[in-house]
Amino acid sequence: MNQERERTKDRKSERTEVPSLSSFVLSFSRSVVFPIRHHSPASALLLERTIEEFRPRRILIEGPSDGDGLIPALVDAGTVPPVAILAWRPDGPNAIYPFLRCSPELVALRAAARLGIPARFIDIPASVALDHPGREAASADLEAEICARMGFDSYEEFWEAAFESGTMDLGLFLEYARLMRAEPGRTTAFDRAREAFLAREIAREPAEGTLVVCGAFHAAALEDGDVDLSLAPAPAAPAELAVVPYSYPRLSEASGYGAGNRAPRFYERVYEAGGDLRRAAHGTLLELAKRTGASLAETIDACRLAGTLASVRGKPGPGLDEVRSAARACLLEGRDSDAVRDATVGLDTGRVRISRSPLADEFHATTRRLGLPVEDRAKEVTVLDRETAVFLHRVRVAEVPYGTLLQRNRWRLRWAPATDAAILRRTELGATFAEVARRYLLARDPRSAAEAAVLVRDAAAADVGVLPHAVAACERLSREDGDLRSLATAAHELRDFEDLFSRLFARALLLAPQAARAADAGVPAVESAFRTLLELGGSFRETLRQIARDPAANPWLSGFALGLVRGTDLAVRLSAGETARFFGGYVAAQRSTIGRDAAVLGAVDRWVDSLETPRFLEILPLLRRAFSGVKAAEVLRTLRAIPAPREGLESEIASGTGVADARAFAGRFRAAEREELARWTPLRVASARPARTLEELRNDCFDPAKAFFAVLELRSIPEALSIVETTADAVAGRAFVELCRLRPDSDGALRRLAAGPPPVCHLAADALAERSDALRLAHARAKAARRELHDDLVRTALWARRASARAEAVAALGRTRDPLFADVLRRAADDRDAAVRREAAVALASVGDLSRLEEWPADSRARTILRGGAP
Amino acid sequence: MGTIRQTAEERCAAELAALLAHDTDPRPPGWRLSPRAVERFILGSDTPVPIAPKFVGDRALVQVAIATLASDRALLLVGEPGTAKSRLSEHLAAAISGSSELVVQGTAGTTEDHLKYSWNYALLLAQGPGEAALVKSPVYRAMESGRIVRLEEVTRVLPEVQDALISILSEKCVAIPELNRSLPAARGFNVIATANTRDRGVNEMSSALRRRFNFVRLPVLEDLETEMAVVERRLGELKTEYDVRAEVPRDVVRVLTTVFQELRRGRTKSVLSTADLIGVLFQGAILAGQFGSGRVSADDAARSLAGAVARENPEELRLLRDFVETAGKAEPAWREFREAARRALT
Repeated sequence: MNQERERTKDRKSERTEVPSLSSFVLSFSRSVVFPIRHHSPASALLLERTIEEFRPRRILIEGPSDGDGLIPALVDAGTVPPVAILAWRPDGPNAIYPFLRCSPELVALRAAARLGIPARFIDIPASVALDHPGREAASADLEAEICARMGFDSYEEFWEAAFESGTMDLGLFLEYARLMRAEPGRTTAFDRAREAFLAREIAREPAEGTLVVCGAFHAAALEDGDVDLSLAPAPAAPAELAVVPYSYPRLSEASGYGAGNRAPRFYERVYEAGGDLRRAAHGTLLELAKRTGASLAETIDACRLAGTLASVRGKPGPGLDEVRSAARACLLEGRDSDAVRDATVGLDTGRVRISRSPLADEFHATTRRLGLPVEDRAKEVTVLDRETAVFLHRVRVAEVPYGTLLQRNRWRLRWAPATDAAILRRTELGATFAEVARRYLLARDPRSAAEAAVLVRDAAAADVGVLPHAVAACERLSREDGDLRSLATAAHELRDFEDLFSRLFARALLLAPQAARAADAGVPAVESAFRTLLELGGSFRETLRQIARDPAANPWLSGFALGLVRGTDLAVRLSAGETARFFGGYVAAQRSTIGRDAAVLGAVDRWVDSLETPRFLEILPLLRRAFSGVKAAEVLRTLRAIPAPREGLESEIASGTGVADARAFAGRFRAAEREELARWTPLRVASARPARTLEELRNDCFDPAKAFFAVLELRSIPEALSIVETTADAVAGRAFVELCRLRPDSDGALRRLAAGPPPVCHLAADALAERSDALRLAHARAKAARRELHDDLVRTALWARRASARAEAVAALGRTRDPLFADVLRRAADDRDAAVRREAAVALASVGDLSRLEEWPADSRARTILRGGAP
Repeated sequence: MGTIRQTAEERCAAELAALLAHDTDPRPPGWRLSPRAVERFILGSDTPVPIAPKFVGDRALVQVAIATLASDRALLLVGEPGTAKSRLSEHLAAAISGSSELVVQGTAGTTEDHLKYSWNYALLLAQGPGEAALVKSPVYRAMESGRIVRLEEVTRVLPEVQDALISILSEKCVAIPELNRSLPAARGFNVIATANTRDRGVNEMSSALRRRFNFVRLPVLEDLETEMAVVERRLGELKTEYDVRAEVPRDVVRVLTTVFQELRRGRTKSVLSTADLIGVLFQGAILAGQFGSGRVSADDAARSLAGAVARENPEELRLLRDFVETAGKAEPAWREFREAARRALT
């Protein structure tokens, strides 16, 4: 290991020459400020060498000065970057100071520890920084100008080309920092305060042999003495600090100078390669090739391309942009891929061996022992063993963001820096997760049965001895809570806890009739409670039947109750005068299933038949909505199951001449009414009246009470239209739209209405939309269904290897009698196998093309067909 | 002005000469210009003389293309129709080899002869196989002289013919068994192929062949100003080439470019490219120059637009009508165009 390090050092000293260094670090007779760029490998390498070469007496580092106690943890061999110093106040803001393997600050700390040089942080304490919200994005004009003038696409690219390759020129770097400072608006008051603090801390140490490691921006101020000591900030209330693992993806997401790094893994490679960009590029491309399965030859080409690109761009070596471009062109066929990001940004999370929190230790030790992923990306796992489940539940109950319970034993796990931050915050509540979870559970104060039920479940899952307490709370609330939904939810939560469940369920049954008398605002809650309770116990059905008959209940809810039990006694509410709401509840309870239950349909049918006109008009929209969800396929199936109607009846009815026959039609098609019920019913009601003369009807049309059916009965669209337009009456208008719905030739009339005044125009527009959509949909659907169904047949008919299979498929296609397949059959008629050709000729005949039959004069079927028989 | 269309090197002779005279950077063997001078030629520059950009787009893409040609991999430009693949390849060849005329148009009828060599059968019968009877393909000539050869629409070529490329690209050598010799490629030889993502896809290329190419994907221009700049510059060139004097007002260019971008983004994902847009405007310019006022009016533009859209996808005509009815209501240029479009699109 040591040898290895020696060798690395040799290699580094060969590569990293220090021409500017000796002039820069004249001697350590005064304190020397070493300007760095955060996370820069070139900075880190040069700094490391400076420390080794010149052995300063002490090193002062830009870092939170209240974090000195964490230095041992940072330099510990068991700490694997990326890590971060996390600073927080309980229930307050937090701040993060990330470190990469190539962060100069960390490199300096580790070199100091290795050489026995004392090192400490000298930036303002994190406690003070916490009170200053994040610094605003500084103006980037200077950077933009530099990029434009030097021909780089981004500032990062410029930085890499100017400073990362070869030796970093510290003098140039400082000059550059001075340029930045000179830009107006670049230096904030907070910067000035920090610089004052830095200067004061530096002054506290003897100047001789002091090396100050500091971001170039501040270093320039310190070098030039451009500091106003009076600006140093006042101390703030202390904050908590700890070293926590960090992750590469997060480092690349963070923005701003020093906070982030666009490709942490790549720049760590540069550091590991002693600043040799070429080796870092090759290493990255090799890893990428492994990830994408590219060959060695391609990888070599990619490495070459990266080098050529660098020279085309006038750079000393291939950097991140060259690696990305070369990978895309050579390894990924010009596409972008996550693999590039994974190889340059990196995926890993860091590790911290020494933490100051037993809770964090427990978390990391337990996850490792149980094989749970601690990664900064979501992963789903199924947990079957009790120990893991208990642990995850404890972490969840302690409100540490890590595991999300998806289903009974399915978890989604994701570690994030926030996980460790939360764990550290919990430390004050206990030394183990069991303890913390217990504290959390005991602190809950359930106010409703539902909350208490969750508490019982969590207490049972976390297994920390608070179950009796939770059960007691739940029992108390099951008596005190008067909210039906809360009780139902609680019963649902606790369906595995027999005793509590029966207690909650019994009380819910008791409360249900009262809850059904709720005002309209409470209806949704009661609805969902009803559904839950019905799911939980069959004994609830009886209660629901009672509610359906209860005259004091909310009409919607009693309809809902009847619907839930699929009751057929709809007449119950006729007298109550709130028919529409009752029926609305009835329909809502059954949702789309209403069209599938013959008993329910029959009941609705009889009930609708018995309704008075005004009531019927009230429920008409509800009816239509109730049956809108029934699928066309279902309607077709029922239609087929019914004895064939009288020839021509359909068209007669469609053309509107058969009003008298509508009843017969409806009778015969009773089952098909699933969809049509709402549509035909007004006609049926109308036709039940004695026939009247045209004159009588016209008069009725102007009477709002009679207009609806009078218009319907008029039958003549022009006649009705002229009346509707003269009266401009909403009832007559509605009736007219109904009439139009029955008549396919009424598009023009509907359009005229749709252009007219509301509310009739809306109705007309709906009817129009329904019509065109229905037609288009039905057409498209039928076509697609046929195609899909027969795709396999077509394929078999044309390409099956066995001739018998082809012949069979051809015959099946013929049986569809669908001209859609004529082309396929024509191709089959040229099949290389005679049997298939013959079958195809017959099949073609059944889709209307007799031309190929003549080729088979001897075939008995062909003869029959040609003689005029059916195929 | 004898030919309809000049080659890139003829058109840009002055620029190339200036770049050559001032080029001090090292050149890859066989190249007439250094990679940096080639980049300047393609992307435009102020030094040493003003050089017009030939391609608008990501600088990094062009650099990858140039760097690829300097390596021993071949270059494949992939993109939607009208993303200036051919234009880029023509100018790259002109700058690197000094000539862009070595080109094979890939079609379903392209045979191996077009990629290697064939025979002058009269001579072959009269004198037997000999150098004189050899008919050299553009690829052959490029290998012989160390120049760039272009393969347009390589994915339209039948896979078995494409396979002939593999040996040329990997061995850089063509065997001529009839003459008992082979032709090794001179330094500077390389291949630029283009492939269209809309027609038969790149997937049609065998993986062995794909491995010999570096891929550069050219994106569709999404920025209005950028596309307008491209359109106006190309239009200027076309007008000079065909001696069309009509003026194309900026407002018309803006309106049509917006329409094209909207159609591309829209539901039908139109395939109308920048090249189509230039075609529409140029046609409008001809109409205005020959039959109109000498200034492209909204009517001229709308009429040629209707033709182009109807050719691609008649469904889009309806969308187009809806779009012009709703877009950019206030501006006078839009109002004028809307009225013209109503007349042209019904």
